[in-house]
Amino acid sequence: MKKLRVSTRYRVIYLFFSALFIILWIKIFYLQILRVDFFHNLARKQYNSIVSITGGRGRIYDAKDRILATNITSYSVYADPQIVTDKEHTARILAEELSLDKDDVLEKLNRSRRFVWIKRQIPWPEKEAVEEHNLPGVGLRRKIKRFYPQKTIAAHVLGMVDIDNQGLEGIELKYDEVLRGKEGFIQRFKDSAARGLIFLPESLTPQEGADVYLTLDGQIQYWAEKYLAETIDKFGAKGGSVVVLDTQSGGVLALVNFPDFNPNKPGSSQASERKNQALTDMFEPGSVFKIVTLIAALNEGAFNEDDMFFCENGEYKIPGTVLHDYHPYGNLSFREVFSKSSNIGVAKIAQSLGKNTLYRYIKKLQFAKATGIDLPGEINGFMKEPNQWSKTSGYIVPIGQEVGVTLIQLAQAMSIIVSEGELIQPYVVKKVVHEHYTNEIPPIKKNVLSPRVCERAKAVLIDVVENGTGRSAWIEGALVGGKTGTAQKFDVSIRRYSPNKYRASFVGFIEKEDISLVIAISIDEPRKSHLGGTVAAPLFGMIGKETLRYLRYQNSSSRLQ
Amino acid sequence: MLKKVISTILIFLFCLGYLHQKIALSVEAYRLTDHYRKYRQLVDKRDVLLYNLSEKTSLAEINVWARHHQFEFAPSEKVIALRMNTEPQRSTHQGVDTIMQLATRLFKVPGESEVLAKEKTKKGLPQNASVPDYSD
Repeated sequence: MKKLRVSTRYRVIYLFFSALFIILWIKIFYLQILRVDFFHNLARKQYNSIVSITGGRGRIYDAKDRILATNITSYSVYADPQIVTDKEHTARILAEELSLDKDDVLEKLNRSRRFVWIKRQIPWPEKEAVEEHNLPGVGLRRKIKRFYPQKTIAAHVLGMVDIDNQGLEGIELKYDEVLRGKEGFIQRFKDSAARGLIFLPESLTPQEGADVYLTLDGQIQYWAEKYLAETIDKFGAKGGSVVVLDTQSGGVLALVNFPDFNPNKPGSSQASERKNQALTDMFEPGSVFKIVTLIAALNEGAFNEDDMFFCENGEYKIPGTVLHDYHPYGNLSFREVFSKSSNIGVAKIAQSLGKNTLYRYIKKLQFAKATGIDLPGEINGFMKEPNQWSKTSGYIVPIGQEVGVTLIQLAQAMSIIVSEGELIQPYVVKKVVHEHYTNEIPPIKKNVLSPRVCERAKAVLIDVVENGTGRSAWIEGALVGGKTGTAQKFDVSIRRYSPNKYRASFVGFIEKEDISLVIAISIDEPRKSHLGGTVAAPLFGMIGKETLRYLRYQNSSSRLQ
Repeated sequence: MLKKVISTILIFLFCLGYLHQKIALSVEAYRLTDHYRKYRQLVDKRDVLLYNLSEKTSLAEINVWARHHQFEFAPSEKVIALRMNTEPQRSTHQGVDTIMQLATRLFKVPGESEVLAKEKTKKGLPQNASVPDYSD
């Protein structure tokens, strides 16, 4: 009996532990066989990761293959305050190597966060120095950033990118899809501290973005910026813009705005400084707009160059107001009306043509319409329909008041006249080059005026420079013509035209050998003088002279080769 | 017994081969990582050099330097003479040249006279002309 009780006890214990083992085996079977995929993936996530690698953003070049925008690596120093052991020592070393204030660094290291930036985008020697110290809790974060080696040159055309290298303005925005690379990936093993150990050969190669080649010439851009800045400084002006066009191709050789900015330091500039005023700001052009009446009168066959007009000795009563000339004139020929820029003479010519005819030629010269240049932010300008014109409008629209234009529109209009009536849409991107394709962008052309009329108009505009208000624009050895403009600005606070705020402009052309350029200039609120012939025309002369010499040298070099 | 030994050896060889493949893959991955690390270092160095270069040779810097050193564009009317003598050059060894030419044609004799060799130029320029070594 006793023997039976002992053996039963053993059996129970045996069964109990057998049951435990069976439960254990079931659990092991469940974890190792049924849930194998789950735990395998969990483990993989810890030691294996897929790192995405963005393809490099494409570069931007000027017409002479100078790099205007590229990519470089930059390093930033960060710290994990929880891991930093000796904060005093670490702060002292970092402050010394990174030229920072020690107390500032110490304050950051004392924060209760797990991540603080110590210094962003540090130079190479500082990066090497920090690496050498191998401070616990301090690390370097590598980043690809956009770099503009020419700094402020062509800044408004290039634009800039945000922290994720996405285009925000200019070419960077307009051609963002093209410039942006395609993502690839690579697999890597990492250790328990999440440090990358090895990369696996299986990967998807990232694709680089396409490179963009501009029509802009960096050297011409430099001169335009330099002389514009000097002119603005000389006359105490608020700002200004310059556009240089090659009339044969329609390519923009230079586009400058002042104030400017450095796209390498976007945070240090205001939004108003980054605006591409030549496209986004409209203004009343003043006498520059008289080229519309000139073309209309010649094309309609209404007048000849020697027809005479009585300019009312400088005062002409029109509905609603009195029209004045800057100098009082008696009789002037048709040619002299434009070379001396008589408002009364032009108003009389325009009146004889009629507002509907005039409006037709405003449209023919592509005003009140965006040029379609391949840059973002361009506006249409402003032009009332003829049925909305007041009785005064018929006299003042021809002299460039009650109408809003942009500088690029003025440049395009002059370009139509210079290229014998052919409209060539201005553009800045010549071609896009990728590993797998090259896309050359042909200019868009259309005939809008007769060559004979344009030839006659050019002769009148040459007279403006040789004998008229645009004498300061003259360049030795070249054929130069153009039109000055001095427009009063409308002051919203007093609800009328300001007596002391003006816009001085000059739009002209230069021809020599096989070079044909249009340069359009507008200076906002010059103070020491406000006349287009005094402020803008000399600037035209300076930029034109350097550009002509440079282009002739380029052309002669290629003949030697 | 023999079959058991052979099958054991075969299994061993198979396992060895399999392990070798696995290790080779890891070695390849390590090399790739090492190359990638070196590539990144070189890219970083290149970028630093590019940054430093552009600080000193941007268009603005070059223009200031050129103005300071009074650099001017060469006037386009300047003529660079490549060949001063416009009269056809007569060889002093004309008879020898004629014989050599005939011999070359008839018997396909290799080599040519020294006089003819001197007349040859590289890309149309005299042998002593220095070709600018840059591209714009």
